[in-house]
Amino acid sequence: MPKLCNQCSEPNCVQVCPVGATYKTKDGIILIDDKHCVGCGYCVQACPYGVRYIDHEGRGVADKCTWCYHRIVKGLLPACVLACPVGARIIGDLNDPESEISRIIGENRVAVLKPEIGNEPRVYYLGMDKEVR
Amino acid sequence: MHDLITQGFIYPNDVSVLWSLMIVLYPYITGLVAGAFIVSSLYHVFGDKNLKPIANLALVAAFCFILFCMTPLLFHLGKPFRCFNIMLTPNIQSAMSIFGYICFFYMAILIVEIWLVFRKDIVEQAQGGFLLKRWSYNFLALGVKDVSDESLSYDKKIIGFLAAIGIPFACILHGYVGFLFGAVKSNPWWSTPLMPIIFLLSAIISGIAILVLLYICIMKVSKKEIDTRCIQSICKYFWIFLIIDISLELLEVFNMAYEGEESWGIIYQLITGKLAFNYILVQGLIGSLVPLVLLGIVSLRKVKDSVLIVFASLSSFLILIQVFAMRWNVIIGGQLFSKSLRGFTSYTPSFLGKEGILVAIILFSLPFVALYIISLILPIFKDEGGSEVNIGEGNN
Repeated sequence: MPKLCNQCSEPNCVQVCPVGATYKTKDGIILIDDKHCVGCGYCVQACPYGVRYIDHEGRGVADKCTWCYHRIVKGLLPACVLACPVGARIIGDLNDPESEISRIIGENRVAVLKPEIGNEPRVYYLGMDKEVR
Repeated sequence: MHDLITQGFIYPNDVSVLWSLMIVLYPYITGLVAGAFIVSSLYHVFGDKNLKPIANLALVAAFCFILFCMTPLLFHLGKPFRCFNIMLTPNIQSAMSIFGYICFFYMAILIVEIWLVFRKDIVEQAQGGFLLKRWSYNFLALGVKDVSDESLSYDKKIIGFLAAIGIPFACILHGYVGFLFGAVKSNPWWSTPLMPIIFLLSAIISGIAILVLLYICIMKVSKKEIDTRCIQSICKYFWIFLIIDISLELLEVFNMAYEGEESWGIIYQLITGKLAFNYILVQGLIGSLVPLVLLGIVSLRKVKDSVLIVFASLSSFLILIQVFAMRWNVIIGGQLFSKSLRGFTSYTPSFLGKEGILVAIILFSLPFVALYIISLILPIFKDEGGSEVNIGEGNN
């Protein structure tokens, strides 16, 4: 099952970053300022979903999926959503009750990964098996 | 049943162990700082006169270790030249952000306390000898030449005050390291409120152990008599702290086993499989049980001086290994299983490389080199007769 950064509402990667390089935008996306990151790796350890890594061979800083923030701020779709051949991925604005995603979540049983952790992840899965970790 | 639910897969980013040997070495060294300072405070604050022979060594040793405690982190950081960001733009929600402030403030306490303890000797050394020596000691004296009884009595009050406020800072310096791990809710091997206390107690026993070993070795090399009352006294503290430390570590694992949460499956596999040698044999049986027995004997019974010294030395050596094994088992152990709770990875440190074994050996040696250099400048061991003992010199 594909996994990506959950852009949690209560991200503990933001909480643990000692220099404030990891931050949440007003859109709710978690980004990393790679000019400020010191590469300590605390955020990597803190992420319950294992989606972060330190780019050892490149910049020596933390990195992760950003939901193609550079594309969505221009009104474009993330690369994974575009690439999916069967339209299994949908991205949208949960604050808009008329959006397709709000309708799908409102009308279907959805699940998130590790809800007990308390991070309030914002990647929702339709029909996810309870055994998925 | 545990086999079934621990097979599966690991998250791709969990394949490599990120916090490596350098991150094991860092709390080991800061633990020695905290432990050595606590021993010094047992004399300066709590007035245990039996510890006088090692009180000044404890203070200087704490300073030597704190001088180099940051170096393993610098070797680990992906961007070490940005290290001051932690103090310039700290995120105060992060436990790691307080490190810079605590470390430098604590270093300042140690420097001032050491200066006050040795001020009289510095002023005396500034009176004679060749020109460079007089200039150097005059510089160290910082222009304060008053060594009257009144002045020295005032120094003692400030030393007591600094030693007293140093205790909570020593606890914070190492307690925050435990909190750093204990507050990571995503790692069930780390996440426990007991972690700061466990780290602090193991720091204290490692600090006592290094001081006992240093004292005995230095006295043997210098052919000076070992104060066995001091060793006897410190062994009692050593034993009590060891009992509390072992109890808390066992309590943590027992609690996990009893509660039997989802993560217990993989943790059980970790303890009995991947970490069996390190955790059960090295940390448990050899590193904890043997010193517990040896220190119990010397604490509860009157033994011959030679037996006391052998038991104390052996216990100290084993505890130093035990505390390193504990750091390894917590830090590396916590990264050997995936956050999927469904698989393991492995880790073998390289010998070369910036986070390798050779670098670790060199970094760990540096505080001892610093201690030797400082012993040439300050009379860390001044015996009752007023003669100095410099490390490595025989009795003249």
